[in-house]
Amino acid sequence: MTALRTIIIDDEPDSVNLLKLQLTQHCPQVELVGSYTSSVKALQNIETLGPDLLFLDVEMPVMNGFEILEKILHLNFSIVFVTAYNQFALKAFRFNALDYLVKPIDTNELIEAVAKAEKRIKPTSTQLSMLQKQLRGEAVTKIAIPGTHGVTFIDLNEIVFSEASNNYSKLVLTDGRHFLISKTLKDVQEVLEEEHFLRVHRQYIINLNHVKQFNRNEGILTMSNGQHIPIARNQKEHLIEKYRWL
Amino acid sequence: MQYKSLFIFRVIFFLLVSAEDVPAQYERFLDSLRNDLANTKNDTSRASKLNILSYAALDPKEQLDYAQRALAISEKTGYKKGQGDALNNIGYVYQNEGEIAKAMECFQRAYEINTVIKNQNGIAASLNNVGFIYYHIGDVTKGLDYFQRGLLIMEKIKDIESQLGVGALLNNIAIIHQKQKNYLKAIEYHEKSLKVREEVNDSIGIAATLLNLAGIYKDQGDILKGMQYAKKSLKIITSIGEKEGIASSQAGIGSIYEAEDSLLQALHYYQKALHLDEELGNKKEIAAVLGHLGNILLKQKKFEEAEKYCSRSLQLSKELGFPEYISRSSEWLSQVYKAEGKYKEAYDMQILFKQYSDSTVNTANTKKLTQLQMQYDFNKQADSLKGQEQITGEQLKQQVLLGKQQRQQLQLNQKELDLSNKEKDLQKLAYLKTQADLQNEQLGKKEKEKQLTISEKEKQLQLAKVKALTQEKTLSLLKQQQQWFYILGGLILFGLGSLYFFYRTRLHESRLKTEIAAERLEQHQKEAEFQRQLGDISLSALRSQMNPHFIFNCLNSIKLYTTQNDTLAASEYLTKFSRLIRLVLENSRNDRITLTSELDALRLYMEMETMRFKEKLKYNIAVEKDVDLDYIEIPPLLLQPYVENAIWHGLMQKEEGGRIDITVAMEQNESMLAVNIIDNGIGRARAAELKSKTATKHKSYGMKVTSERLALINQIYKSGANVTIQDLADDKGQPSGTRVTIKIPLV
Repeated sequence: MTALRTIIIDDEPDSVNLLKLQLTQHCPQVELVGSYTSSVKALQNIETLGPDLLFLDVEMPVMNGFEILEKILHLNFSIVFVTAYNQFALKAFRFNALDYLVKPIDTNELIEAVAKAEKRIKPTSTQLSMLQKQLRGEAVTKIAIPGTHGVTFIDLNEIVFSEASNNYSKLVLTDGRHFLISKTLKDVQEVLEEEHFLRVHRQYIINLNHVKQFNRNEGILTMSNGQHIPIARNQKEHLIEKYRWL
Repeated sequence: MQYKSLFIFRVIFFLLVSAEDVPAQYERFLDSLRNDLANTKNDTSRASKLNILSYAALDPKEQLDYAQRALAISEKTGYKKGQGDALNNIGYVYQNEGEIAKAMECFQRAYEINTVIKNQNGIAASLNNVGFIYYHIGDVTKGLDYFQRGLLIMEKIKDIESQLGVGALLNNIAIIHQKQKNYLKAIEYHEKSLKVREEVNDSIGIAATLLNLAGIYKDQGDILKGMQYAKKSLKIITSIGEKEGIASSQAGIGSIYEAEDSLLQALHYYQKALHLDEELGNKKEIAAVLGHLGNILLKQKKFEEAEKYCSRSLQLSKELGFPEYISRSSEWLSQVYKAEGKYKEAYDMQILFKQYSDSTVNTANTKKLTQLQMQYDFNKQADSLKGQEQITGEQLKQQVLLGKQQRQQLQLNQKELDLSNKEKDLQKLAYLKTQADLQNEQLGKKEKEKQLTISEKEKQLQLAKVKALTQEKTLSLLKQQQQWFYILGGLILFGLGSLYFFYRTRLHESRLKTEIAAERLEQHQKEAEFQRQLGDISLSALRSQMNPHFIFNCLNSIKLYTTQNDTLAASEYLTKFSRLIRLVLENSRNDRITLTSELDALRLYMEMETMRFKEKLKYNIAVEKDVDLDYIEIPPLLLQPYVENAIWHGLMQKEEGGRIDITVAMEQNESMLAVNIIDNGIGRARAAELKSKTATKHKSYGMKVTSERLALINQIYKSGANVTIQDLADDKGQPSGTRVTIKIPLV
């Protein structure tokens, strides 16, 4: 097994030192080839070093983590984003199925992230460009679904609804395809709720653009694919508000 | 900006009435004046009362009508004071309508008449009004000269009327300094004026001064203070109901919103002002407001409308002939043309602008101005030695000579200055002499004319009497026939009249009702908005000191020391961290905290930041000895955001880091606390550049150090703190950091 050539970029010396320490204690497969507290210096060396894995702090002066990525031409290494606190970025990571760790870093999560990097799973250019787009505040059109062989992107308009099943969620698409993802409906809701989606029931999140009919008396929605979906009583008002139904 | 010859009466009125419903009471007061006039038979009193009415009336047409009637009666009866006052009042109306030549003539005639009858207040009023016209045609030095001459005379009189005049003259002098961008002097004079005006309860004057001060603060970039003053001005003037002043204050508020780029708000206030100005026919103000409106529409990219407004403004400015107005309008119009791609027209306008802007503000004028100011101060000193005096042509001559002698004795070593003074005095003497000769001549001529007209009139009167007797007989016959006609006609007229009246009151009522409802709604909205902001600020204040990013990074550092088994460092870090959290939580609960608490929190915060960034960050807090840390109290959470801002956007952007120096000192006789936060970072310009490069939407610690935040803190904690930010530069003029100065008034 070849060593995992790793770089750490974080503007705080303490953070760099702690991560170094955690890696040497818990991840023997990691070979640290560079660590930087200045994003400018890091950028100068990153491509010549050719790492397998990059731990990248999000908030940094002069150039933040995302800006560094924008400037790297050949992005052929795994990335684990690190952040102390940035809800906005966290949401974007989840949406695009990118790996991230929060400070102080939990040892188990670190081990898991490194193990994943060992499988040489690299972020695709679509994933990164979607991330940039989202961080710039542009409208989100796709969601990344991680699978065993990498990431699949699904157009938000293709999703008719999402249904909970235990600790998994099922995405039902317009063409009849189903996707099972290892996330709870709560997680899916968090990702989708700012778009045109609404959780109408404990078990369902629907795409508001795919509603065909609303039976008010029985509280049942008919979706564009013919599927009937029940509405929780307390969500009825919500739905009416969203549609301005009378 | 200008006052008329008779100010006393309106002021007395305001001393008498209570605050509620002033406009209606004022209307009633005017009615009582009108009734009083109708019952007065004596010509002299009629003329005086007409002049009072002209001054008191709010409508310019009425003002002119009363003054002209006063002039006619006064001329007929040879009542000189009446003539002088009437001429000043007529000139005032002309001047507002942009009839500069006519106005000038009136003021000069008023000056001559008042000099003859030694009416000091009248002389000073005319001098002021002439000065005002010079100022508006761009000759500021002459303007200032006239104002100062008026001031010299009026300062000696000490009755209410002259006190009002002194307030106005000081105000006018201040405005000239303001226009010359000599802000310190302008503020000094405005404050003097405000003091005098407050002494005599001159509400309209106070509102005007506040508005002018607002303008200065705006020009100096202190938007917040400017807005406070302008709103105060509007409040005062609205309570009186003087439309001219209301329009000015509204335009003033508009200009502050404009400076702040709150275009919609600015538009709203300007339009209100324009509406009133058009109602009053105040061309001067209309021209200015139209220009501003055009400028805003330009910013909103509504080019067609902008062009319409700006060209109307220019048109009016040309009619008025005020260079300052022409230059301003032409520049705006030029910008509109440029935006529209009409480069030829834009170029023409630019040339017009250049041509007229040279005549308004130039360095030569400013120099001359300071010389005049010196001379004035000097004259005043010499004058105060002379004591009380009366100014007839001859006596003035003597006094000037006397003053000159004293001056020569006092200032032997200042021969050069003296020489120029002498020259000026000589000119003055010659002028006064010819003036006196001229007046004597005129007086003689007028006397003869008067006698002639009187005998003529007597003849006419007798003839008329004879005619009247013969006519009376035929009349009584006709009258009988007509009586039936009159009764019928009268009935019909009465019916129509009452119908119309009924309709009008109904209409008026319903309009009033909707207005009141709208106002209430606005009030509610404002209240709700304030409550919301209040919640926001307490939250954001707490969050700014307890920035989660900061918290988690601190915890991360602590984790490092424990992992390294460095228990000492870990324990030290943890102790400091918990102390900081405790302090911030405690401080945020109080309205005011001692300076010790705030500085402790600040010191802890900076210590932790230093630990995070090691040698990249250095700091020092220096407190002057006379600052009583445990006694002085300030609003909580005030300083830290500025420090955080300096660290993140100033110092950390530099590879080698930098240092922060905080100084705390007392100012203005211990009534003000001044805190300086100085960093040697990259400076604001570069920071803004870097920020704009960052494409990402979020900014977790991009602390909003805005005037808005401070305004809310001031509102909630009832303090008047203000912040100025200064860019620092090294010897070579390169940016070398930023200084933030926070001044907190101590109660």
